Amino acid sequence: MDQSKKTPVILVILAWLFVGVPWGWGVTELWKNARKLFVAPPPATAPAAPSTTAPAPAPAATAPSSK
Amino acid sequence: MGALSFFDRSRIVAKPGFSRWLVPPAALSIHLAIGQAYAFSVFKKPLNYLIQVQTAGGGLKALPASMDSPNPHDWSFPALGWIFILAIVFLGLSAAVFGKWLERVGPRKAMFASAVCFGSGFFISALGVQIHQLWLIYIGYGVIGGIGLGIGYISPVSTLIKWFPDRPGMATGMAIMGFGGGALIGSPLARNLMDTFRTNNDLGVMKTFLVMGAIYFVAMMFGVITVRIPAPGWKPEGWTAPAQPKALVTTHDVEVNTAFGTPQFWLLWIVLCMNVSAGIGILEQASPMIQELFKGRITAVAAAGFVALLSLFNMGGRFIWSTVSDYIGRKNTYFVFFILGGILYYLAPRTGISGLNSVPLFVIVVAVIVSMYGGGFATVPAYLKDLFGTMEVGAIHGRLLTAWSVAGVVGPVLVNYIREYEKNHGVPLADSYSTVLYVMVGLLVIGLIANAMVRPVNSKYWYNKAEDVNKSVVPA
Repeated sequence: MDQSKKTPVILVILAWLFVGVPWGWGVTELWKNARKLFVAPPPATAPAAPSTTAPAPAPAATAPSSK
Repeated sequence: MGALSFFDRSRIVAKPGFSRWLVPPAALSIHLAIGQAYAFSVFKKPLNYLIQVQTAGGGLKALPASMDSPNPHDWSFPALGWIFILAIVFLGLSAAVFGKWLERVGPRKAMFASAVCFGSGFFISALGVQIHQLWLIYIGYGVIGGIGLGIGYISPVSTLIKWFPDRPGMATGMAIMGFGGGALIGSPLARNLMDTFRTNNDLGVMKTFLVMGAIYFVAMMFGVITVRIPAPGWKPEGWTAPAQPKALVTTHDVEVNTAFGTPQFWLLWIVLCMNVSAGIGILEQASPMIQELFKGRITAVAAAGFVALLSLFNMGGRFIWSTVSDYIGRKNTYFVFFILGGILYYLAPRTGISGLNSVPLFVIVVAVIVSMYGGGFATVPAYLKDLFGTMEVGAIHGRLLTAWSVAGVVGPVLVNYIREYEKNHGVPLADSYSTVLYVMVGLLVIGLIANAMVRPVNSKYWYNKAEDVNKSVVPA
């Protein structure tokens, strides 16, 4: 009977890819940001000059916090 | 008529052979889209500089890292902050108000309503940017978009629970993890689009809103088209409901208005509110806290990386803890959150420079705390299903989300008030975190007591179909 035909596996895989690909891209972007935690701080002898022209919105903005 | 019937509940009853594994991607397409809300902060600076850049040019170079726009016609940061606040308030309100409607009309119509609201919220906001009218963005993204958030958030919950009676925690955890993941996509997407559309006199916000509205609408339509509800009496192949259900797991249903009047609903309300308040308390100050506790060792950039890492744990915790709850039970899962959480909150300030002086330990402690914060959101729908059954669990979940709205205010206010009080009394900044975290432990103790008090719902609250039918035939 036509009504009882099984969902093709490929359809299930495609559906997961539809949400998985953008999600994976987002996680990769976030991980690039998170890696900064593991970068050693600059030597204390060279005080960092505060930048006044940020090239892009602060990286913290990418980190969703209170949801 | 024909086109409208596409959205009818009767049209989405799955035929035999339909794979239930198509339903989580449908739910995720909605949650990954509406989760963008938590990346809205990426627009704040560009929105703050619209007129300045339009008149003085300079593109992004005109945006200093930490300064308000010098142009008095530009919108201020506090005024822009209301966009997100409105969106979250309307998320809570609409989830509470439309829950019952959702249960009646089914997930397809609700998802479509969510897609229309969320997408058009962006379009109206684009108009607001174009003609520089902030109230249009309040109405667009804040009110209409917020309603889309609320309906979208609850729309797949009861459907997933019905498709996965063997693993309800995992199923709803997956969708709610998507809400956490939405910001991970929304933030880089918005930045890339603004980079693409930016000119010397235009930061590209208006076009970015238009494109994002279209992208999210299309992505959400995938969920609208794909979602199905199981046929009455459907069960996963080879699965039989346990003959002896666990103590708190009911085989009966409770109607949403009835559930609202039960002590269990309000105990869970407290459980969620306390867990979220405490979590927000630590998330709000994660970046300054790590910099203060490890002064000279952690830079602002590294702290931003720390906050990003926490987002991953927040997201992952939603799936992992809710899945764990399928095995150890919901009540025990929340016991873990409150007991282990309390210990970790207490330990966190002791890992700093004046204590154990261990950055890795601090990161691990806070990461586990944040994973349990996310886990609290994701486990609660299955807890509600255990107590009140599946019949109107989406609607009951919607009402419970008001606890989130309250926690969203209580958490940050409490933290800021305590920090201000300590500062005014000369307490060193690094030490003031201890007080804040101890107060959070207090909140967790309240949650622990509320969770311990949860008992099975009294049989007098159970839904009686025969009684309902009798009521409906009595003339008004």
